Amino acid sequence: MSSTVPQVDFFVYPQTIHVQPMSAAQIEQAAQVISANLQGLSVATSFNVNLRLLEQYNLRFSEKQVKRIDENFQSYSLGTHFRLNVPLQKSPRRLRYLIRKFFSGDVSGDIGEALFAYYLVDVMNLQSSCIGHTRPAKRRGSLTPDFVVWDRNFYLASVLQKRTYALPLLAEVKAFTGQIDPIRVGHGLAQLKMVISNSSLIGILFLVIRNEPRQGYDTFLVRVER
Amino acid sequence: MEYDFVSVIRAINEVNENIWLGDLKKAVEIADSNLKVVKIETAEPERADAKLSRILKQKRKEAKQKDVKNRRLWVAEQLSKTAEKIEIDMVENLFWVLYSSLSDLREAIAYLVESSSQTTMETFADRSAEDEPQLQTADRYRYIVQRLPDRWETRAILNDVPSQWDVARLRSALSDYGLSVAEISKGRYSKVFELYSRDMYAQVLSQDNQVEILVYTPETPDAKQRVYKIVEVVLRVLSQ
Repeated sequence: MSSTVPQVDFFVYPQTIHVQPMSAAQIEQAAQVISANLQGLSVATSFNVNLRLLEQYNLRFSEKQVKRIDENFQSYSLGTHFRLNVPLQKSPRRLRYLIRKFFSGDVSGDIGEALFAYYLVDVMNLQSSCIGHTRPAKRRGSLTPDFVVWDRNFYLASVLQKRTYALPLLAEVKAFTGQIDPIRVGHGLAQLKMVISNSSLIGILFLVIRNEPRQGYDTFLVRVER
Repeated sequence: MEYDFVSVIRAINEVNENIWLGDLKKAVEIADSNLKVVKIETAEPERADAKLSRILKQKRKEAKQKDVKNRRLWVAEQLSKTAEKIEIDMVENLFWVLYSSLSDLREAIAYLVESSSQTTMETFADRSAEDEPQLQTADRYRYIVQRLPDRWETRAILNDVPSQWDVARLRSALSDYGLSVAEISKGRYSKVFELYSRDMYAQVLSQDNQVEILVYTPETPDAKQRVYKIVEVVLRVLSQ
């Protein structure tokens, strides 16, 4: 019943990207350099993902309404396309669906966000109650990253290569099913540039790429500062 | 002003957990107590989040009008310049974004509470009271058991995050019911284990203080009682 346990390889991009002085063209260029250099990195750590737990993080920390990733993971890995199951009726007048999620077929996006939460809690030992999922606020026009992380015990110090840092940490998550798209990497950098400008906050660009032959995932952390 | 980030993040997560459990009363209590604390302290002419959201909208519009090549990157460049010039506090912006999310959640629960108070007799015509999952409250946890077509699904919230995990104690408690325990995954705050017997299989997931138990067992007259019994035993051990 627990089905397969996908393995995730985690990589850290060695350079810190300083976005404040960068123009739009320079961000575009930096995104291309990052995308081209990801393949040559050596694995920082690997972890096995329990799909039941992944589903729990999916329910809590993903923007879209995609359910039961655990039960459908194998079919998804084999390329099955599921029908989008949206509510047949609009919500009654003055009422809304309680769930504040969009009904979408963006499975990879959900897996990306859920994997980021999985990494923070089950690999880096952060408490899930200190993770704020702010992605949905982007839809109402707010300027925000996908996640704000209150890492008060500095559990991420080793990957961020700093002993202490200003809180909260701000994270953008981008997930890919095929090749890494430098344009979307650039969008992630641009978003972080906006949210950390005029502050000493640190940004994390978390890239999630499906590793098709292994039916697993590769994840990359890119440090971003002013 | 000091922005109590962590309290708002925790409050949003707690409200969501209680919605997941179906305990709307508790969700409202948590949202209200956190929203109240912040409201007292602030009276800003235009909050940083509103200001930034207005600038963002304006820059996006400009990018469209100018038909720039990569709009998102151009907008980011322009917005950062403006934010620096007018010295907008990004921490303040993020705090208010989170605060608004909590406030929106509170509003959504209010709609639901209102709608459920307006349900008519017809709504219940084809539902028996027995099918309605009821929230159960014990000293150290709250839970709800729902009968689904293929399984019994339990959602529970423990009052505290379990500090110690004793699989031996669980094995001993469940052996009386003929159930074996297999530990599947164990982290600092997460545990996944499975329970097996001749006619029952269950998956238990515990993450922080949230617990989900899925029980698969044949339809028998005493299935419901057995499921509740097993759920109680698991929750009692987890909450110790």
